[in-house]
Amino acid sequence: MDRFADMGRRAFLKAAVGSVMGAGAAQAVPVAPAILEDAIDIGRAVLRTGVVESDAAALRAALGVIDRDIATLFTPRWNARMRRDFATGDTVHVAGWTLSRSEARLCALAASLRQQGLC
Amino acid sequence: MLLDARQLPENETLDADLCIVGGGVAGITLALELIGSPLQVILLESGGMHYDERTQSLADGPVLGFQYDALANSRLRMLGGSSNHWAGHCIPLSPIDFEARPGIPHSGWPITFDDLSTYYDRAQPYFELQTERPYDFDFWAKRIGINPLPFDPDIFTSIPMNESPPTLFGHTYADRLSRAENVTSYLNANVLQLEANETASQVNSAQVACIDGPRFTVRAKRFALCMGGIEIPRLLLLSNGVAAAGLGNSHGLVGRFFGDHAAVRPSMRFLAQRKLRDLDLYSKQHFFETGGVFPAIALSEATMRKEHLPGVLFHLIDSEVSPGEVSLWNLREGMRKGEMPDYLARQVANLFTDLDGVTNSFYREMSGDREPLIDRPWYSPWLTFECTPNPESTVHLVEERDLFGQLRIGLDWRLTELEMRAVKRGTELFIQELGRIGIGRAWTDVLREDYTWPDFVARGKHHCGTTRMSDDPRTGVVDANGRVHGMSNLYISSSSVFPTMGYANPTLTIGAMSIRMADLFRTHAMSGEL
Ligand SMILES: Cc1cc2nc3c(=O)[nH]c(=O)nc-3n(C[C@H](O)[C@H](O)[C@H](O)COP(=O)(O)OP(=O)(O)OC[C@H]3O[C@@H](n4cnc5c(N)ncnc54)[C@H](O)[C@@H]3O)c2cc1C
Repeated sequence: MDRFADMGRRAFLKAAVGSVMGAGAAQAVPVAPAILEDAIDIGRAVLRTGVVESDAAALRAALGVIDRDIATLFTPRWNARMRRDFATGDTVHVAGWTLSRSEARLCALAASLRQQGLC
Repeated sequence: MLLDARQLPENETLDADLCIVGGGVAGITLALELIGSPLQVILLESGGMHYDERTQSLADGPVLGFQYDALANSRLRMLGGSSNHWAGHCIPLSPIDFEARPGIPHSGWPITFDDLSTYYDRAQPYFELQTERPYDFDFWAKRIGINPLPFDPDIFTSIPMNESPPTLFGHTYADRLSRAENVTSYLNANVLQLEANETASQVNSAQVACIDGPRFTVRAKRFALCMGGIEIPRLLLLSNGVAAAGLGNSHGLVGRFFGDHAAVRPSMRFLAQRKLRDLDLYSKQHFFETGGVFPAIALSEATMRKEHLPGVLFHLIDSEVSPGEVSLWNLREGMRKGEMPDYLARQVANLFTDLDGVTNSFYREMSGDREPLIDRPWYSPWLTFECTPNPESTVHLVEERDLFGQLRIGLDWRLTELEMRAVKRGTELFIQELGRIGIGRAWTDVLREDYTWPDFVARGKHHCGTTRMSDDPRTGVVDANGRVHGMSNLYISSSSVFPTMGYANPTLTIGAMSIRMADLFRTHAMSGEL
């Protein structure tokens, strides 16, 4: 069973609130391994729910990212986009949590890359 | 004067200009406003100064529809009425609540907010509330010293709900009532029936009885019913000596359109990034030398109009209860009852993935300590919603009888799809605003497609709509002045006249309407109309 059979508070706190939403430098800084793991867990739950694209290429295209290094993805540069998602109601529901579509895609991308052994 | 009706001789007849039935907030405010007027006033109150089991039993009746508190517990029969157990939250209705709103059938009052606004100002002191800019949110936020949350004003508005101590109207005003020369208040006086003339166009007298005491009659030029939104329709329906359907009921509206404020508590649990001081503005009551403020968050008029939604109000409750703890509780309850809880998969998942929430729960249970071991910024907002006018939601007489042999009243409360839509959309918008502002993320069951009303939907015990106000006798029981259509001298002051009820707790409006009625009666007395 996945460590994250469903979306949990602890992982969510670290991955979504702690790193992505957290105030900090705008430039890309490598993400802490634990947070990446949490994001991957959340991403698996997102992928299972089927609320966003299911393969890495489509997720990259939807997010508009070309970064090869997944660890540099999780930075505060996404904050504005996530807030815009919420403002426009562009959200998804995963195991009772409401996420911005962009953050759901980010986590799904991390999970999908892990699946392929790329991170 | 404040007298015990049990001291009256049997079959006494008393005369007055005005007979007020019911000594709760509405009746006492009306009586106090008329002190010193040329009117001789009699106020009849069913209870005494204190709670009495047998008197209280008169308020009992079956719950026939949607879940509700036992009727005997949902209001009190003693001087001061339900103000003896109210919470004291006060807020005026909003201008939009008075309008006929597209998408909300049967909505709208025959008066506007402006017709009531000066009466709201005059009502504040009765509730021992602040009088300087009481409903100016920015003013109070500044005084408290915390910035309001930057909600999109087109979606949510912060409102400063005022906090009464809460005023117990009986105890607070008994002294003034006893000193009043032109107002005589009788305790333990139960009005059983109103006797009308042969065309049922005027009330001649009220038949009154005491438990273990005399029966007597009160004749008056005018009667004002102030017994709350359940007993008023009951008395009208019981007063069927001339009109078989009861007084004021020629269009079958008495007892229909029952509404209350209901609440989903909580409608979500959200995890804040950190303990945000801004959230303290909303999650606490703030008291001052006079009155207090409990900030809340209301769905904006713009969204209500655009999406045809009923009113929705959020209170931010700082709960420190996480989904994991709720899951644990649900699992235990389910096992205790021998049944699986709803959404089992998620409950189990929450248990595994929210370990510190579960730790808190165990810790609290083992130590008996209310303080959580792991302090985390969870909030559990309560969502209160407006019930829209629904003719199928009723109070009506049933075959049970009280200790006077009078038919009891049953409550068949019904909610509609509109209320469910308000709960879902209100929750969704709130969660989106939390994300947009950057406060945190929320978890809820409310947005599930198969979500249905939970086992416990909180009730305000705000009994509205059962003698609704309208200019047209075919759509309302009373006119814009609170006079019963087709009757020259029968008036009602109560939330029972509210045709639309907004999200606002009703009692401040009840007070304001009693003051307005007192002014009308004074004017009528001066012009000889009474
Ligand atoms: C637990 C609880 C909490 C509440 N909290 C709030 C709040 O925070 N804010 C808010 O705005 N509202 C609140 N309310 C509602 C509030 O208490 C009522 O809106 C208010 O008391 C209504 O005033 P009233 O005078 O119309 O009726 P009541 O206060 O119910 O008074 C009616 C009076 O009529 C008397 N009576 C009844 N029948 C007869 C009869 N046949 N003959 C003679 N007398 C009779 C009764 O004994 C009673 O004294 C709350 C209610 C409850 C139960």
